[in-house]
Amino acid sequence: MIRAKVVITLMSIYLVAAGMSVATAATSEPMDQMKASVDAILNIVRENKVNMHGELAGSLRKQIVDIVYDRFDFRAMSQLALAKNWKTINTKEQDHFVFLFAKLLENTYYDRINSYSGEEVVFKEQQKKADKAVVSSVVVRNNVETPVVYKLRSKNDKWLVYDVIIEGVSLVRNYRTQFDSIIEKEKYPGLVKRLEEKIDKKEVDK
Amino acid sequence: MRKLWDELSTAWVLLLALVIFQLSAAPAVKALDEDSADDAWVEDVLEVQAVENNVTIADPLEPLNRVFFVFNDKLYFWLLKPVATGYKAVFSDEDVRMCFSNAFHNLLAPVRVVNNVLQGKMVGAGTELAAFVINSTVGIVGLADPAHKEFGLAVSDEDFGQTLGSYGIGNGIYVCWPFLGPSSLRDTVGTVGDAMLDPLFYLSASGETAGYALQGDKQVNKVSLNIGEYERFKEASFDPYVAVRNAYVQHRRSKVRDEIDGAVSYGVGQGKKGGEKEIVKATPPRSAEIVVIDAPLKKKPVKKVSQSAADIVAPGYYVLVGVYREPANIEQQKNRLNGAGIKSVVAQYRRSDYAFYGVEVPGGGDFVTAKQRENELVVAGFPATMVVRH
Repeated sequence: MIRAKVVITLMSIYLVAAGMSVATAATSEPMDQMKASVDAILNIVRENKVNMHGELAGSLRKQIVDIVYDRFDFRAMSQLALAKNWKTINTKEQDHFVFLFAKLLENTYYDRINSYSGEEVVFKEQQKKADKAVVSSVVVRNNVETPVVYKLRSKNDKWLVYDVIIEGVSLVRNYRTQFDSIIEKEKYPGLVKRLEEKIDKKEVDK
Repeated sequence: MRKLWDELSTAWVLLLALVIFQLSAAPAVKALDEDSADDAWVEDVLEVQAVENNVTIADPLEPLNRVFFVFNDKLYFWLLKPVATGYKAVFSDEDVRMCFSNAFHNLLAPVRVVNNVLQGKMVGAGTELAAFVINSTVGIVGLADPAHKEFGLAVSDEDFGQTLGSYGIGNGIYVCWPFLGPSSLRDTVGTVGDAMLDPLFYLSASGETAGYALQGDKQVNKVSLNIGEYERFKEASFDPYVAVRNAYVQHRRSKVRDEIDGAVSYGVGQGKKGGEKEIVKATPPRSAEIVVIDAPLKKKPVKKVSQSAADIVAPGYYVLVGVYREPANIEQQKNRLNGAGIKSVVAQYRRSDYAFYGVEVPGGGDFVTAKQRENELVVAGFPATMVVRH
């Protein structure tokens, strides 16, 4: 139903979104750096999952999350997701928002990783111009290919992700429409409350 | 779950502390000019996005749409999901359900052929037609997908909504249909048009029980392959209605523009900074070029294989083909296999920074055993998608 594909895509974004660290930038090419991150995470998952539907041991979460935080520019993602509203909040609120948004993405992503069942990630090509790059990949499962595209920016020779596009659906834009609609109805504090609730709920569920 | 959380909590607190530390430390250290450079960069990206693709849709029916959205949501959780879960238990082998899925996809080939033609995509139409012929014959009424797997024919997924979009017709308003889910005025017209080319539609319309049964199986089969996806999507969103609406519009837009498949069509944007645009394509792994060598990881190729690794092992064996970049990883995989009592690495092919290799694994006649074997290998780090059955 409901274009389940879109949904899958969005979710696989998080999957692919992963990793890096091990990369230590052997090269400055965005595709290589992105691939190093993703491979590093996939390796952790493959080596430590007892079976395809098993859960990762808790201590591995830090390893994976570190790789994610190293490759994703959560601040830029937050700014882009809030768009015009970013300017209306003060620095402290901005920092807090980045923390919450990153946390939300981290939780979602980690769930995704935990449901890993043998998917392969194939990197296809990169497009680069000045300090921006677009890297495309597909997640392959059962011969079904889900296209995942990363948008990256270069910061001190390191390529950082600021948006992920799964089957044509941009993560940042998707959140922006939701944030816009919440802020319109409940103002900014309402949004923060919603973020906090979602994160808290997750912690309790565990 | 509870136990896991207990184990997690220590690492978790540490991580949390670390994150908080980083976040609180960062802004203090950051120079002011870097902040304003960031702001300028963000403005730039937002501007590019606004110009590149303005993805919004009018939703005057929102109150009604929301009612149907909730209806569909309940339909999923109360009916579709339980049924699909039971169905999944019966057809527990995912491969079997993939076969059904292939067959349903194959049935819709007329829709794709016609819409490729309507959009002037003759190559796409030819590919779809060829795939339809191959899969309906060699692929046994479409249950298997040799057109894609063996002949490398890429799908060119087109429908009438996309055709209308390619003619410059906009979405119109957003509509959330009961049972059918998100759509737009344009895509609703498209869906109706496509139904005219759908054999299942005629079967059900003629009142045949088989028609309804197949329609039902089509939906349930689809859901069974994707259980958990909708739940995760919902979990990650704040207003699922808005999230789905936006995802639908973005997804359809990229389909109309045929940009889903590559980075190039997304573009890096104009931006304010100059510089040459540069495109690099990854070398695609090609299993057709596997070379057999005597002993694993030694030099001389002794035999070139034309088709795939399946050609080089006896029937009743599984062949796994891995692709690894680092020699160290290959060694690691080999050791792991040897540890698991799997001795023979039978094929290896290297090109610049990639290495492909295959291992043979006794499959035996018993499918369950073979399947278990496959799972073991996946756990051992082999890509499930590169398993070649022989």
